[in-house]
Amino acid sequence: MNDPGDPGVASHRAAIAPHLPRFLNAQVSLNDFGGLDYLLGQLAASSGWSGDLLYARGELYRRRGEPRDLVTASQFYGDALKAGYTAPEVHRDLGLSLLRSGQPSGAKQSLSEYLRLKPDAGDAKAIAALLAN
Amino acid sequence: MTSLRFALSLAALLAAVPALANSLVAPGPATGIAKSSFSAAPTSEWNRLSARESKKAETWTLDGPDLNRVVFFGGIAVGEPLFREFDKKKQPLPRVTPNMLITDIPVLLETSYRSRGLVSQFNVDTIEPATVGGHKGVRFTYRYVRADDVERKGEAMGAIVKGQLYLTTYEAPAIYFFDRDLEKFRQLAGTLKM
Repeated sequence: MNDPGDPGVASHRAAIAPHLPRFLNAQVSLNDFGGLDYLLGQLAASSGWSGDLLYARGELYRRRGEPRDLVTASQFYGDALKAGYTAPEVHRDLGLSLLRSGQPSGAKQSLSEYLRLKPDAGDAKAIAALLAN
Repeated sequence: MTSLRFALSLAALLAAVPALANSLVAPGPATGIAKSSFSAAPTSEWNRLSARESKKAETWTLDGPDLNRVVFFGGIAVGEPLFREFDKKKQPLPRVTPNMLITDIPVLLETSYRSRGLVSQFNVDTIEPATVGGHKGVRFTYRYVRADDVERKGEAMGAIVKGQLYLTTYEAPAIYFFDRDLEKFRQLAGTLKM
């Protein structure tokens, strides 16, 4: 007989969903690459790769920041956008990854989009300075 | 008035920790800060603590590190962390990476604090371009809470020079102390050279 699983899973996921980006961001800041990579894989195995999970995966790679990581991060941010992720920060972080991996034209497009969506952001002046360089 | 009374109680509480060995930094040129090419020209007296956050860091304070502290991180190279690493395998610290942008500097500080497990909250509030010692760099502000539940504010100036990170942070309790000594830090930061 197949195990139908815990009937509370769907309501649990729905309750967690609004808080998931904040939880994932806190995990990204712990600098535990292997731990969060595993956690994201486990979450994706049961619910699929949502925009939240793809963005967090991009952050994981970008913050480690090895040259190849930045290319990988850019791909995950792009995938997050395709999956419907709408937070303005995805454009900023995609732009920063492209800038660091030597793709200035794509970077400028993404950073400009971030400033258009969030002109009053706390880091807007720094992003504008990077755009001007 | 209430906040001043609270601040003074806080000062008494925090000043009760054992004093660390230190040496006086007299007004005037100070060179070789953090055993690096960092130099500054303070116009008031500071105390240099003998305890270091890492081999390439140096801490100055006015009244004790829990009430106000300036930390200089001098010439952190690619592959090196900001702080001394106690367990590289189980609790690795983030490192300076190649081609860092000015916006990566506050992220490095936040991740360093969080991955050492010392803060329950950490928020970067503003990031803006700044000239640091004649180099293009960044000024950023932040807030965090440690195990003592005191909210602290921070302001920092950083730049990447020849692939190495030079960062100076000023931190103090948000109530009373941060604002009281902020100008002294800004005066000091304005004289930085590397």
